[in-house]
Amino acid sequence: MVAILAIYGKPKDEQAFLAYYAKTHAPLAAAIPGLQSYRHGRVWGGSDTPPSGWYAAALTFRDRPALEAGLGSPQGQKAAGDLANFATGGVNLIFVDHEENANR
Amino acid sequence: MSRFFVLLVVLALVAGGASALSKRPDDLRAQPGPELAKGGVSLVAIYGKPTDEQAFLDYYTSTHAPLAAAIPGLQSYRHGKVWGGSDDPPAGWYAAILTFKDRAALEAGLASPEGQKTAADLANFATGGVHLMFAETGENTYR
Repeated sequence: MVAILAIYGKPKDEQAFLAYYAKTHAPLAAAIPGLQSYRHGRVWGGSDTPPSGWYAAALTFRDRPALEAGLGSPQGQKAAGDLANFATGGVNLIFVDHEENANR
Repeated sequence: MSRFFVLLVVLALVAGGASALSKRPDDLRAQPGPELAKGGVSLVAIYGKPTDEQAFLDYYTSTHAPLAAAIPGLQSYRHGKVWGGSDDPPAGWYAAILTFKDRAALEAGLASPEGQKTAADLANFATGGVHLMFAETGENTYR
């Protein structure tokens, strides 16, 4: 399994970000082909003060080809293109291998 | 966006359009997994590139992962190398996600002897630094 982690910086208008994310961005991301799970929400703490992110999302796919095909699909391109519409505090995406899992 | 995304777009176009990609077998549309029973809150750990990559990986697998896996209340634990992203180089080198039922469970887990031992162990191998974030991922959107 692999994951996309999206770490968003604090937006200019917090309420507008949350409303847009829930109403528009989340449905776009949820439509990406090959997506296995999708979690997202506010960051409320961490090791840094303030935390190094304000909102975070984790999207999992079966493997690297599935992730790359998902992002390369029209739905993936639409979701990526939508970031500029609300991520006013910036966003860092990282792609992670989760093959070495240690699930309880 | 990074060259990676540009490359993806170019590849999709060259390959005969994104329609070719979307016509991949249905096995890409995986079944909802045991994820459905999870959710709650997540602890996301993003590690910077360590001084000695192999030493980091060996230590993480043999020592840190078992410590983290013993944290009470942990529901799922995934970790692995970062291999790409929107930035070049990516904004992290290794990442882990630990999920708990709710904030109280996460806080109790971190405050437990096992949680304290795991947190203290970070200094033993995270030579590239580490950022921990606690996220309310209860507002999940599952397929």
